[in-house]
Amino acid sequence: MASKALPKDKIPQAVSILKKQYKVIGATPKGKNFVFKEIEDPNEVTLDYNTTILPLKKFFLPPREVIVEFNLQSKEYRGEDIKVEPKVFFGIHNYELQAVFRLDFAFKNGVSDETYLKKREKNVFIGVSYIPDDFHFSESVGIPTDLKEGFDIFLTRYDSHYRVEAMTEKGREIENAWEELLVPCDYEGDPVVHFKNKLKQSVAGIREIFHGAYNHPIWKETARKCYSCGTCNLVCPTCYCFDVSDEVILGTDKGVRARRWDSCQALVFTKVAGGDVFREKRYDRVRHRMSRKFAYIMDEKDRPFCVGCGRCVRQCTADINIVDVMNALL
Amino acid sequence: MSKPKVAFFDFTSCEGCQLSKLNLEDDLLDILELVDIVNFREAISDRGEDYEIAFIEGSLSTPHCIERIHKIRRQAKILVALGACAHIGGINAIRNKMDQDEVRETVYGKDKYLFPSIKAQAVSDVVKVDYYVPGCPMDNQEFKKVLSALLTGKIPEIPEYSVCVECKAKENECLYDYGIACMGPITRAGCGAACPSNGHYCYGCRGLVPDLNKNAAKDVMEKYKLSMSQIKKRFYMFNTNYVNMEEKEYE
Amino acid sequence: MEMKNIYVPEVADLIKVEKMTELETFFEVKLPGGRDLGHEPGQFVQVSVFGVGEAPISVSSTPLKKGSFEMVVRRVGNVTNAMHRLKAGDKLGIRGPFGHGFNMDEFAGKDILVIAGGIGLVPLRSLINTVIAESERKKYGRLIILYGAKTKEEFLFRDELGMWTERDDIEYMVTVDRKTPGWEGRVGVITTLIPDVKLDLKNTLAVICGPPVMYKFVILSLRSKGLKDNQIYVSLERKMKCGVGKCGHCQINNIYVCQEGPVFNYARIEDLKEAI
Repeated sequence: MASKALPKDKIPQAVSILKKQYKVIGATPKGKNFVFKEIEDPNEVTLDYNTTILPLKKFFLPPREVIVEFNLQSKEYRGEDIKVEPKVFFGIHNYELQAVFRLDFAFKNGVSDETYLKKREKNVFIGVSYIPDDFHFSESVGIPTDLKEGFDIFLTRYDSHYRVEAMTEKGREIENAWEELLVPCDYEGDPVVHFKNKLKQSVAGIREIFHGAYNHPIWKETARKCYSCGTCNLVCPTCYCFDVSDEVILGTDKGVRARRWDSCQALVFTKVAGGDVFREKRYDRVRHRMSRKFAYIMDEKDRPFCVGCGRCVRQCTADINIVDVMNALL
Repeated sequence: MSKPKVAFFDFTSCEGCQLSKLNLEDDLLDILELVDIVNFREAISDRGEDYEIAFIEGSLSTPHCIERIHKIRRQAKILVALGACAHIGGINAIRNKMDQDEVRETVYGKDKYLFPSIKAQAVSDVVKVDYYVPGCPMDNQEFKKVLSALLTGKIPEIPEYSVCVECKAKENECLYDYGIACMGPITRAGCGAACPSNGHYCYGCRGLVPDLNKNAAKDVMEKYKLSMSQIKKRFYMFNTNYVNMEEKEYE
Repeated sequence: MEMKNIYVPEVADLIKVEKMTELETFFEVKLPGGRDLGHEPGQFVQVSVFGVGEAPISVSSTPLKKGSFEMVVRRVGNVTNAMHRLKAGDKLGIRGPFGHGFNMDEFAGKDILVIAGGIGLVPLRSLINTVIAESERKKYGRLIILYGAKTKEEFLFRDELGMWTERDDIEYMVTVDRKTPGWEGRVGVITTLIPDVKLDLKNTLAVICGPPVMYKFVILSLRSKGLKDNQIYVSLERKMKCGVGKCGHCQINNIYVCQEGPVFNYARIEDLKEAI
């Protein structure tokens, strides 16, 4: 079957069609940056962006989320009802979806976290190819730009068109719904792209390198530049640590237990009630974060918890580049 | 059960924090049902000296302040510092880096000897402070949280991480993207990143994070084209008493 | 498939509350229907106080005790302070038990050396009471208990300490860091007790729980006596929020204390730089 292409100027119409059945989430400009949000006006979505400020995790593990409700009078704890609506994530880069898969692993591994996993139901992903900027380094962590794993449809950009590849039943349904917008596709193969930000060696074997690198000078060097603001954790698509606190609604018997994104770079992160802190040195915390990405946590296929989106590099005001840090170890 | 008796005291300050409590409006009625306010100069004329919880606003900047705060501390079971001046010395402390005699002369002219003043200090520099509601002005919502924690026997906790954590959670664009140096990365959170969310850089009014990396902060600001004197101004605006930008110190 | 929200505590009854020291209070908890907690010695639960929050607390009773379980809690943070205000008849929330405790099968036939510093005795009491139970005692060899507290005023489970002194199947030694009026016994940190203990090196397992600073010195001392790393078990404290290996706070290098611990064979963690 000859492949089809979606002309660039038909994107808003394609989104309108999706909106009939789904909530549509896509990237939109915010100042000079981009953010993922629910699309109201089909014209606001863009397929042409480098990276959003926050990754997709905000839809599955919101920055603040109620996990338990309680009542002081009736002495009850109960789970929050989670409503799941069918959602299409439109125009998603492949590292972004890979990061969601890493989170899926983290929340399924051992004990299943329903509060997260429920929100991962009824999701449809429409991918789009991208051109790496100075910060992306996905290829180095095993995610080349032509990896289409997990998408229902993948859109590959060629000049004024996007080649449409439906990869699942859901994807084919959507392709059919777009039928009238599509034109025959003259393009084949995937465009060759180059990454400027690169690890010196492929990700295989990095884990072993960490074993001997505990006292490497790079940790202290990096810590001198780092002021532990926590930005790298917050914007990381695979960071999922959270803090939990109870809030009583003033003047009522009701309250909630909520979780909130936390940062392992903050001194308080390991502080127990008695006052002991278990990663007191800044370089301990710097090393911990990077070790977690490349050595401590691996998914079921032994893939690291860094997807090379480059957000931590792009948004670090102190210009700490995780790739440079890794390259110092390699 | 009798309601806890609460008193508010103001020291060297603009009194903005006290006024800001009056802006709680609806909530104020709820609060009044839970506590007895026995001393609150801005709002009531009674001057009760029998109280359990003392809220202190303002920095300590005269010998008289020191005398008064000791007296309050002796009476209060719980003492809470409200707002930046009480918490960290705040704006008042800017003058601590200047020649004190010159400062007095500028303010009082030839009468300067009639007005003894000392360096502006945070309340905790002089007496034990149990809890804090930071900020300039203090945040009403946080005040409410602290008060309701005290009334329910909880320890009021304020964040120990940076404003960036709250700013990023809101998906604000970073002001540094616009070349604007911001104190957010090294300032204690809890304000919900109020200033950066409204397009202004963070002034650091909630105090510095517990493990400040001063040199990293200075280096970043220099990279964003702030001169050393501008950087000092940023640090000294609220945090004079807690950071010395004259000396270099690597951790 | 219906999934269970792993964060919802089960509401349980406090059936006994007793002040033990200035800082520590004893709690006995009954789960709905008197169901057993089903823990192993050394495991912990997440305790919720209504309106205040949740904190990880060691279980202090032996699994052999039926119908209820016990905890001893030092008031240090928000939740533990709030627990101290609770009375018998009040409700609290329980999740767990979590993690791994002591696998008692590994202790069968062995001499057991228990080294407890301060409130480190709380989780180890679960193991001690399992070993000294009438029906179980024959399964194990010698039971040697070394206990250290700051002062005699901080001793926990005083009735039981007295009973340990009297029983001839328990070798019990105790020391305080600081002598207070009325104390006639030993003064010194807990490691000062170790040289006096005679061990059958081939057949002894040691278990340690105490303040973070204690482990390094006790382990050095045990090693110098000739115990091997895999004969030493430690129970470690860390900050925990979720108890189910998600929130990240309890992580020591690549392991989650709430999942693999809090009890570890020392040989397993000696290479983890952040552990001890």
